[in-house]
Amino acid sequence: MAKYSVLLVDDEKEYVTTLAERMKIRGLEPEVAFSGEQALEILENSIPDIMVLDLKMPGIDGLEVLRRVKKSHPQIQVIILTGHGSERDEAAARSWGAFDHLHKPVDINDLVQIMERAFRQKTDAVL
Amino acid sequence: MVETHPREVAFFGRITAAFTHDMRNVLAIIKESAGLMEDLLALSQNAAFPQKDRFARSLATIEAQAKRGIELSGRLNRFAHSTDEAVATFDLNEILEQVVFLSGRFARLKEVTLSLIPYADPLPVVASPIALHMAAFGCLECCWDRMAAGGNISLSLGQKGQEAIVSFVCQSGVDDEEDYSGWFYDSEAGQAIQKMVKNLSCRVECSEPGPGLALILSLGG
Repeated sequence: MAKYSVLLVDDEKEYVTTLAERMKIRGLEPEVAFSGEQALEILENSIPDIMVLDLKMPGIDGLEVLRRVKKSHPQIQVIILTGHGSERDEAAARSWGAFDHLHKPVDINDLVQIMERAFRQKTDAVL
Repeated sequence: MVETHPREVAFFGRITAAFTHDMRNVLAIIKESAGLMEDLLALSQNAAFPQKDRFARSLATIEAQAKRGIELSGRLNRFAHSTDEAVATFDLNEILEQVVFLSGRFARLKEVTLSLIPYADPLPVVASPIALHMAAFGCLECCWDRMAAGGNISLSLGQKGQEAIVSFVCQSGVDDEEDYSGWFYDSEAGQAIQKMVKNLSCRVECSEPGPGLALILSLGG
């Protein structure tokens, strides 16, 4: 599998940095943003293949980040990873083009597999 | 239908739901940190590490307990959200599954087991979710308070005409000679349930005549 770039977005710093470390052990090099605002700033300079995005965050929440990202960079595959997202949130996320909607905590190997699938779908769409 | 949704209950639910969100995050961090330690341990497979097995076992316990805590906080979150709406349409199967889970600790303290036989199809009911939780829990409490240790309460769901039916049958741990029906309609606990279910536009009946104790909760219709 070709290497892909990942942006992890979550305001729970301990959680997202630990998740990033576990991904590094698996050969990935994720970038981390601790807020929706920071995630959008990062996108001004680098466009990841995959974004793993929390929904409930102070400031610009995950759904709004998803909406903006899909409008400006529809090629980014967004995977929602949230604590207690409601069914309504999930339906909204999917309607905005989220690739998948997962609940925390997720098995790291399952998450990596889903990211690989998302990347494959992205590259297939380009071909 | 009588109003059964004081603002205080909704407030309690809202705050509890918010806290379970934070609790889940704490548990997710614990689980992920234990996972990271496992990853690091696996990376140093060949390095000398005294007590490596004990360390790995301890990590597995941390992960398992964090997972258990996440399940509990998820259940509490769902329960808290049952106060979101005064009246809602829901699947009775889902509510009863949740009631059985939430009642597990109480049943264990009474040394009684609970088993649920769901209905094969969704059973849509329009009622106050929190009031229905309370009524079903009240029926269970009536049962286990009259049962001996080692008994089992079987909950089964069904449909009779326009009504959805929940049967609470004490399969063991009760005295077949006792007049439970007389007790249920006269007792304080039985009358409290009757009063509670009136607000839900449903009724609870005690099996009669016949051996054993069974309560039938009928909704809708």
